[in-house]
Amino acid sequence: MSLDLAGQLPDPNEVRAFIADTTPAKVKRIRLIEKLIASPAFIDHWTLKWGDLLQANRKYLGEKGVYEFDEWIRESFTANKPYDKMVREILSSSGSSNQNPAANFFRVTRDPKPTMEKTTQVFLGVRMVCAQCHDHPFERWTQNQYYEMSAFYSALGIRPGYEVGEEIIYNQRADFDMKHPKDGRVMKPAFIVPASYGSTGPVPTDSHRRTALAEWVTSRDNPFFAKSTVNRVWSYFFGRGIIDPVDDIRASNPPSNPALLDALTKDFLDHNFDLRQLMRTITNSRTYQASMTTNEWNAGDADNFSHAIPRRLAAEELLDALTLATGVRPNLPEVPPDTRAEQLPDPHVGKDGFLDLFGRPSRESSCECERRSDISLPQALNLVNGQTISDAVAGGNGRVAKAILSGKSDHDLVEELYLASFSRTPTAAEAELGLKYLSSGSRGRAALAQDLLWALVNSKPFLYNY
Amino acid sequence: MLVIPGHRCHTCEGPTRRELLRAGSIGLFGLNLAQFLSWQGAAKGASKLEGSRGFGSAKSVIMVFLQGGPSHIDIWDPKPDAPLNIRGEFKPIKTKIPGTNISEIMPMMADAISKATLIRSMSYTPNGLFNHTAAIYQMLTGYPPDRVSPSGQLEPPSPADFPTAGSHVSKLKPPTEAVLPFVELPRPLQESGVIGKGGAAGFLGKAYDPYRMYQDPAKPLQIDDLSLRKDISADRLKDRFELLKGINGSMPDLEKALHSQAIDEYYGKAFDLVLSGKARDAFDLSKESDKMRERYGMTTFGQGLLLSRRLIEAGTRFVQMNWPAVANGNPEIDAWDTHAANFGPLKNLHCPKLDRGLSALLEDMDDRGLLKETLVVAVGEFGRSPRVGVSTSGNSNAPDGRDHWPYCYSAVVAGCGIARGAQYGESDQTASSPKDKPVHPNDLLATTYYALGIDPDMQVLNHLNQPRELVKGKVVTELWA
Repeated sequence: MSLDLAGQLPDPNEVRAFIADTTPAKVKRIRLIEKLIASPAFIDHWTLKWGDLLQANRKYLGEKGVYEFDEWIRESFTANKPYDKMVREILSSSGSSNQNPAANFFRVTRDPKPTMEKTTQVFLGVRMVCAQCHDHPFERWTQNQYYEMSAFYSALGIRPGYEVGEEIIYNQRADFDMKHPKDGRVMKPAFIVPASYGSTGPVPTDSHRRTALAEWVTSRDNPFFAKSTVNRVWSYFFGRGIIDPVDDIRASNPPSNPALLDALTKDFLDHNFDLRQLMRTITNSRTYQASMTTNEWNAGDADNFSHAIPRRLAAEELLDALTLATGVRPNLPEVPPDTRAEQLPDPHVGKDGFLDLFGRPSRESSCECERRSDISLPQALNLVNGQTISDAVAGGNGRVAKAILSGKSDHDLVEELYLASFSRTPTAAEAELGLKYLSSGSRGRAALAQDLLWALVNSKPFLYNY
Repeated sequence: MLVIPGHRCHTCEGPTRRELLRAGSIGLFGLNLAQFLSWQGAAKGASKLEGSRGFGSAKSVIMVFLQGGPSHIDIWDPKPDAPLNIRGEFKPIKTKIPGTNISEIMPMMADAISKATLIRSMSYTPNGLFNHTAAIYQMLTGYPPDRVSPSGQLEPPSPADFPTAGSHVSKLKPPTEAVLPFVELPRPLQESGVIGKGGAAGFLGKAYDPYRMYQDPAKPLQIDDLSLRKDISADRLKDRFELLKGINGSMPDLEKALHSQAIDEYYGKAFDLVLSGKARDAFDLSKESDKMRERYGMTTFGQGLLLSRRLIEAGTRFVQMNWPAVANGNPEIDAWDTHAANFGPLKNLHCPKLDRGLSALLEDMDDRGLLKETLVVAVGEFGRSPRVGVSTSGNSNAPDGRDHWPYCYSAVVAGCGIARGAQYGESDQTASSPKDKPVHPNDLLATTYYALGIDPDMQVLNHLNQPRELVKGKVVTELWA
C-alpha cells in the first residue's frame, strides 16, 4: 500500500508502531491511507507518474523547462487540484513556457496532429492515430474526424521566447487552416462526440478554437474524460485497467467490469474530479485489499481483480526500496546527494545504469507501455553481482554496519532486516532461518548479516509488490 | 463503414490480433479461420521449413557491422575498365575465387575469401531519408525508419522501435547454456547525436537488449557484473543463494503467483554465469596467445573480432561487432564515411584493419570448426557513390570523396554451409546497380533468421500486441552450396 500510494517502503519504526497500535485493524488501515496520502512521498510519486504521462523530458523542454514543468505538476498534486481543472489549465495554456509551465505540454509534440493524438490518448484514453490515414477499420472514428479534431490545434503556434530555453505558446492569427490530405478541403473543428464546451452555439472556428477543446475534454458530460482517468488510476493500483490497455478505450475493447467502472466514474464526478478521493476509494476497497491467495475458481483469473497479482517494483521504487532496506543511498549523478529516485525530474538525470536497466521510461511517448516491468538476465546479473546492491549491502554506514555497532542481538538484527526489507516481522520459520545462518560461523558476523540482507533484497517478496 | 486502404501509412498502427480475429469472422481481408490459424501456426513453429536447404544450419551469428558505409568499388567490387572518376586509384588483384577480383588494398582477404561468399548485389532504395541511421535501422531491423525529427536526423531509439536482429534472435532462440545471449561490441551504432538507433530491442522490451560491452577490447576490459566481486568468494555466493531459496520458499503463494515469470531461471543463469566464469573468461583476451592476437591485429576492430570469436565459442547466440567509429565520423581518423577523403584513408587506415581482422576471423573460425555452425556476415549500411566528387545525399564531397550509395554494394557472408569461395550476384559496369540477383537488406536479414532456424515469415507481437512481420524479405537459399 505504501508503495502504491507513495512509491516508498515504510521505515522499520513506522512498521513497528503500526503493529504495536492496538486500534482495530480496519480503522488502522483507514488512518494509514490518510497518512500516506498526506505524505510528501505521495506528491513525489504522483508527480513522477504524471511526469511520465505528460513527457517531462529535457530533450523537448530543455533543463529549465523540465524543472518548471515538474514543479508545476508537483504543485498541482500538492494542492490536490481537481483533475478537470489541472487538465484544463494544460490544454488552454499559452504564453511563456517559463511563466506558465503547463504550456510545456505543447512543446513536446508541437504540431497540431500529434498534439491532438496525445490529447485524446492521455486524457480520454482514445487512440485516434489510425484514423490519420484512413477511417479506423473497426471503430467509429473516421479520417474526417481525425482532421476535424486536429483542426482544434491548427492555430497552435510556438515561437522562441526572450530567455534562453523559453518558448512562447500562442494562437496564430492567420493561415491556420487544417486541410484534408485527400482533397485539400479545409476541415472545420468538430468534436468526435457531443459534450459541453462552454457554449451552446456552433463550435468556434477562430484562432482561439483550442480553448473550446479544453472545455470539451474536461467537461463533466464528456463520456471519456472521467472514465479514462478513473481507469488509468485504477491500473496504477492493480497493474491492469478495468479497460486494458488503459489508453485504448473503444467499443471493441470493453471493460472487464462495466458496473465497477461506472460506479467509480460516478464517485469521481461526485467528488469533483478529486484524485486523492479516488485513490482513497480504491485503496479502502476490499478488492484492493484482497490477498494473492487463490481458490480453485479464481486461480486462472488475471482480468477480474479476484485476487492480488504481484507486480515488480518500478525502477525508481526499487532503487528507493534498496536505499531504505540497506540504509545506503546510491550516488545518483547530477542531483543533490539525498535525492530519491522518485524525485528525479526526468530520465536524463540519475543515469547510473540501474534505473534504465530496470525499465524507467524514456518519456519519448506518453504510452503507458514505455514503463517496463519484466525481468531479464542482465537485471538478474545486476541484482546478484552488480555494484549497486553489492555496495549497498556492504556499506560501512549501512543498516548492517550500524546494527552491529549498536550491539543488536541476532534476534533483533534479523527482525530489523525483515522490517526494513519486507515491512513486516519475520515469521517463526523465517526468523529461525535467519538466526541459524547468523550463527553458522562460516565467516564474520557482519559478513553473515550482509549475506542475509543480500538474500532479502534479492528475494521475490522484495522485488514484487503483492 | 469499413475501409481498408491499399496503402499503409507510417503512423498507422494497424489492427490488433483481436481485431483481425473479428475481421476474419466477418470475412474482411478474405481471411477465414483456417487461414488465420495457419498464419498463427507459422508464428509458433517453423516446421514447414525443416529440411529446407540451409534452414537451421547456424547456431550463432557474428554480425560484423561496418557502420559508416565502406566504398564497395574500392574494396570488394573493382571496376578497372570504368573511367578514372569511377574506378578510382586502386588496382584489382586476383582472389581464390576464380574470375573474381577484389581491391589491391585487401590482400589477405583475397586469400580468405575462399571460405566465404562475396555478395556483390546488395541493393535497396531508401524510403526518403538518405543518412546513416536510416540505413542502419533498415539493415538491422528490416523496417524503414518512420520518425524523423525536424533537423533531418532520425529520432533517437524509442521503445516502439522495431527490434534489432540480435534481439529477435535472443528471444526466439535463447541460448541453452548460461551465457550472454546477445552481445554488442565495442561501441554503439551512432550518427552524430543519435546513438543506438537500430541497435536495441525496441518493442520486445529491454530484457532483449544486447549486453553492451562498449569498451576497447585492445585494452583490459572491466567486467564487474560477470566476475565474482573480490569480497565474495564462490562459497559465499553459494551460501547467499541457499539463503535466498529459503526466503523465497517461505512465501509459497507468491512463488505460485510468480511462477510464469521465470525469475528462478534468470537467477539460476545469473548465478551460473558469475560462478562458472564462462562469460568472464570469454571476455578475457589475455587467454589468447600473442601470436593469435597479432593475427587479428592489435586494433579495437581486430581484438573485437577475436572477442567475438571467443563469445561464440562460449555459446553466445548473436554477436554484433560494430565498426569502432561513429558512422559519420572523420574519415581521416577512423570512419568509413569518406566524403572528405576517400583513397588515402581507405588504403592507409581502414582497409588494413578490415583486411587483417576479417581474414583472421574467417581462418580462425574455420580452423576451430566454429565456422560450420556460425554465420558470419560483414556488411555496412550502404556502399559509396561510384562517381567520385559528386553529391548523392546532399552532403558535400571532396573531389576525391565518395557519397552514400545504397543502390549497389557488397557483403561477405560465410559459414554454416554457405558456399566457400563463391560470388553471388553481380553489379553493372560501374557498380551502380545490381546486374542480377539483387539482395535487399531484408533478404539478408531473412536469410540470417532462416540460417538460425527461425521462419522469417513468422509474426511477432509488438508492444501494443499487434502482429508484425519478423521481416519482409526473401531467403537467399542459393547461398548454400
